[in-house]
Amino acid sequence: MTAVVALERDAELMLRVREGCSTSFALLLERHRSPVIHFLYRMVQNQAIAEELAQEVFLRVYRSRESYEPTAKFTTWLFRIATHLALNFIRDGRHEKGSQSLDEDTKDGPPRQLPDRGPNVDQNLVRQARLNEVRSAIEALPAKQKSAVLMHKYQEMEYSQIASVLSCSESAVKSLLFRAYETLRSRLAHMA
Amino acid sequence: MQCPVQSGNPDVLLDYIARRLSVESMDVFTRHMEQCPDCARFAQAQQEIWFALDCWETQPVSPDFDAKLYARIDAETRRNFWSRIFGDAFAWRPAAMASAFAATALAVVLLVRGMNPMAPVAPVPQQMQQHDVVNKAEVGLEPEQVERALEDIEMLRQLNTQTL
Repeated sequence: MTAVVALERDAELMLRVREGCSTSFALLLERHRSPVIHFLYRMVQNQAIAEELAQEVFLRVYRSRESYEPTAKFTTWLFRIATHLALNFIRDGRHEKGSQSLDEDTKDGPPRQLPDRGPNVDQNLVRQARLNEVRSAIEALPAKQKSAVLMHKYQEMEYSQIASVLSCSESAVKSLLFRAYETLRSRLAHMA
Repeated sequence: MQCPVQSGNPDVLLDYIARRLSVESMDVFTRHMEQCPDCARFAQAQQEIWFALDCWETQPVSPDFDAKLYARIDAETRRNFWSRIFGDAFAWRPAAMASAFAATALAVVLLVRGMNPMAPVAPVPQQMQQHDVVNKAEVGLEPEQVERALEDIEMLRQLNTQTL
């Protein structure tokens, strides 16, 4: 019930944006900024590019405000734009390979810091190794499977919503997810 | 309960792992897995994938993200304002028309100055005669040309009024 109320609230806010209310746009931005950026980050595996794409997402939302109609859930529309931009970016091959070494500082975010206490260093190394494996495994997925997994796992979207974002049927989404998870299971089985 | 793995409907397993089934369905499925090794294996493997994906934390958002976005929106709003005034396709027209008007006005002035070669010319101070570079004999212009120039000016003035 809370989720339904929150989604309707998004549409209501967007309708106010259509009428020229900048506060409503700020509220939508506050609510959806992080999920969109995190989704894009996991898609392109580069924080700076993810933020640049996210800027474009919200810019397009703002541009479309005058013609907005709540025919679909706001998040469906939002993630459709985000997925479209991410898939275009990946297809155009403008991304660098996303693996980051522990030895180099990240230019996109805060530098990694590893505490020098013995047991925690090992735990962090193991954790980082697992993270790198997961990132590589996700990166290797076909773009549509990747986006379906990210929306299913991290955005907790229903199959119908993912289908709407990807412009395909629910059964196609389930097929995408099943194949993606099967691939991930085989790649990450050794981590069990 | 029909076995999801054997019936080729494993999305129920995905929903089970993601805890999206209803409480009753969760109970039913948990009891099923106690008797179905295939589903139990599938669920176990999927659970591990879920835990692995949970490891993937994201980086914090840049503190100036909103500021940059609003700056882009402002810039776009300003661009759209000028486009609405002049129109995207005709943004160049006012400058071009103003230039044409000025050029025509200048041409008319030059024409009018050389228009009446028979009118008595005021005596030019001697020191200036040496610097007179205008050869009046070369300015043999017809009144019709002046009329056409004046008509052009009027037309441009009307066009300018209609556009703005």
